[in-house]
Amino acid sequence: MNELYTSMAAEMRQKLERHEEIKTMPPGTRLLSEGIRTEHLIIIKSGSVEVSISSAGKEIPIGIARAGKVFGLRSVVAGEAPEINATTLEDCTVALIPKNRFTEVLKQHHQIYFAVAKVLSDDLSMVNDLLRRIPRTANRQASR
Amino acid sequence: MATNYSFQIIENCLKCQHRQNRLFCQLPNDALVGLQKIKATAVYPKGALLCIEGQPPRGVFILCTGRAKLSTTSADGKTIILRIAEPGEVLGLTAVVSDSPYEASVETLEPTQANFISRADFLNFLEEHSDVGMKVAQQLTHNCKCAYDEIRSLGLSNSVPEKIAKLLLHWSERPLNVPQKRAEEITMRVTLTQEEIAQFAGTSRETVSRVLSDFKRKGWLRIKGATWCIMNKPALQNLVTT
Repeated sequence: MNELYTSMAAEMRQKLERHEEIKTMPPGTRLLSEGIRTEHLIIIKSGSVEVSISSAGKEIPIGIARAGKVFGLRSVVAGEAPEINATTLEDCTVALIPKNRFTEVLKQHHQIYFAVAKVLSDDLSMVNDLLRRIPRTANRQASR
Repeated sequence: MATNYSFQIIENCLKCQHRQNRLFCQLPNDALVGLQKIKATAVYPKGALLCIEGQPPRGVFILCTGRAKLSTTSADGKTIILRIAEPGEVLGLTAVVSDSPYEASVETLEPTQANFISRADFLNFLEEHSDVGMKVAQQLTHNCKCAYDEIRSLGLSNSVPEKIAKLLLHWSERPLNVPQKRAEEITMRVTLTQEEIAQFAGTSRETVSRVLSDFKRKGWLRIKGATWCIMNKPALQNLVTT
């Protein structure tokens, strides 16, 4: 079960499952692009996906996501553009839930916000953990 | 109600004049009535610890006035500052939602009013009001954005001057409303010590001191106590490449 559904009651889960569109994506497919809002929730059902962030024209990989990972929540729920890129590394099966369908179910069952908050919290924990692991140097040259 | 700290305590969220400017506080009246029943208001001096990294999640703190630094321990045992929390932010959300220990210590940078809500009360509040759910999602999204910006800045910035320039430019987005000697100057209040700036930028206090002296010598920055003035913003912007 994916990370969003695990915190949901069966009734809400079933309503969302009815709106899933299952697709197979070949390797190299960009599922999510930094800065571009997505119109779908993207649930990875199988396969692996590289997560990266962009800076100064370069893409820096920050992790691999696998089955159960949900992308697009920040766009679909909070209306914000993603901070990351997600690209398939192999053939992946994904379930897409259109934004309007998700928000429809969310309006009927606002308890889903807890499940959303849990996924976003886990994402934030992951990012904070990355921050802890970035090497910090004691001394660098001052500007000339 | 006035305090010894020269700021007014906001007793009633419904009458708060800052409500519309703060992310979490923009709730409908019925949610705010519910919030009034479950919050406990307290005023803290500078340097007070609201929560400690690793503690079990007792609840969340809504920052009403004042600012706080969120710090954690890096993989190599150094203290790092994740970010500075501003009024209107909800602190401890991740821990309370995930029922996991607080991820960071929260220490006030100045006299601060914070409203505490216990974990049980907050989760009930979240369940009862869909608007609260949306605000929680927006707060967590904002926190994530800050964290990713920090990763880009720390992980990809090549020099300490660039990191400090970025910090200065970020702080300049909240300038003080004071008359300027020149129109292009930006005055702001910086209450962080050089040691804390070093923890933010991932370097040493000595290096921060050297970089700030360099900026002052070049006429880009003027520092008088907690009042800092950016005198040449384009010069700082030119330093930032990421």
